[in-house]
Amino acid sequence: MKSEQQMVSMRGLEKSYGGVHVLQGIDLDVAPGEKLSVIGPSGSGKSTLLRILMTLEQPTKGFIEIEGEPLWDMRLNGRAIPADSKHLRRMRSKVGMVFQHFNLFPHMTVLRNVTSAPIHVLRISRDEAEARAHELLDKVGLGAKVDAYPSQLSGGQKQRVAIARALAMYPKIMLFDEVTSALDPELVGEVLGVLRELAHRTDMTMILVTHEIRFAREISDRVVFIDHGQIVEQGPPERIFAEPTETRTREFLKSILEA
Amino acid sequence: MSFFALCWSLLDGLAVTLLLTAGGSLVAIGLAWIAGLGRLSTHRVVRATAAVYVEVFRGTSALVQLYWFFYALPLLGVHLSPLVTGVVVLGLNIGAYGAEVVRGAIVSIGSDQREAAVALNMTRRQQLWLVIVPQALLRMLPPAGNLLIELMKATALVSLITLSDLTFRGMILRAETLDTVQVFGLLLLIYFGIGQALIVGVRALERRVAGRWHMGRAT
Repeated sequence: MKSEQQMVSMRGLEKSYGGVHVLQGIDLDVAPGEKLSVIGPSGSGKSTLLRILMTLEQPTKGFIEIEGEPLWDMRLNGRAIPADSKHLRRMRSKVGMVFQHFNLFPHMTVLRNVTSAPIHVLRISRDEAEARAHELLDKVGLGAKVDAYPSQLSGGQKQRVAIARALAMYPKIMLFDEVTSALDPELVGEVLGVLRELAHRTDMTMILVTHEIRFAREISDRVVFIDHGQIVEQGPPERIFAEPTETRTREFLKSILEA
Repeated sequence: MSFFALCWSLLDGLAVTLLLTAGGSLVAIGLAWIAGLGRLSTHRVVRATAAVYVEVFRGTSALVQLYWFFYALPLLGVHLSPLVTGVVVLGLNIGAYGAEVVRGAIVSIGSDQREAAVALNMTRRQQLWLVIVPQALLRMLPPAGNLLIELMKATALVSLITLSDLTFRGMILRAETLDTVQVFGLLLLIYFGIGQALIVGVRALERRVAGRWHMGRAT
């Protein structure tokens, strides 16, 4: 019984590589505008979940809907058939992603990293794309770096450019895949600052896979703990972090807070 | 005969060699891109055609290819001038190796780049031309430079299909002067000089591209 349309809805999602079951039946709904943090040990399948949502990987089994529309299938004469590239591109336009290792385009300036997809994919004019890029880069504190190349930036700056690049596509859902894990400790703060702004100031749906427990607690509406490809426990951050009911959650939080 | 007189009589031959190198390179670069991208196509027929081309021209002797185009093709009703034959065969032969350079450089670009392009909702074509190819270009340059030199050296083969290139002129000059050591020595020096000039050119191009991205020399 859904009173309102979910932004993302997954049922029985499974993914295996060879004989390894990375995801073993995930049921998860994400409401529009919700800020959801996914935590769990490395190898628990958190990143795979995001990669399937971004259509970088195909689920082995199960069902995902974005705004009520199946992601990996499309309906034809009432039957579900595998999505064609046109369908996938339409669905992808709703989703953006920021990667652990930034994945900036090294041969483009910061400005072109941010404008190339809006110009070529959204087909907005160069002037408009650049105006919007300047605005976004100002917002992430990199207005002065528009003409730099990625190799001239620090990790924290690269990640902020990557966030601006993803935002320039107006996604409804933003996926953040351990976006601070590859950063030197002193650079984590500047990226979290940008994420905090986004979480508080926008109504974008955000799904973050993260190891930053304190940060997850601060900005999330809900936290999901995944282990061995299954959701072990979920709930509001105050409860999950203060009084987890499952032993596995307790052990994970203990291990990560002691580290 | 004086040293300079020797050089002078080789100049005409040098012009033919340079013309063959330039023409052959253009054909080779065109074919390398077509076949290299063809091998990565989603269409099976395109992939297979490109693969057959590459294997045939890599797998057979350049000299025999030249003979076939020069002596056999006219028997099948296709007549090409010796110069065109030289340009076409050199282009076909080096283009086959070049196709592998193009393909190799493209597949060497990490999947992270393709994934970023997918996340920005680019089409396959946009992923290739906006993201992958510009980066692959830098990795193509060093091996492409090697192939360019291979092509330049292989131009000497056309002396065997009546073209009076540098080598052909050298042979005549040797017969006239009987100064084998000097004439062939000079030939070696001239080929070496052209090769060095090509290397300098390719390096400069590499530095320009890499320098622009502040990436240092590609490895």
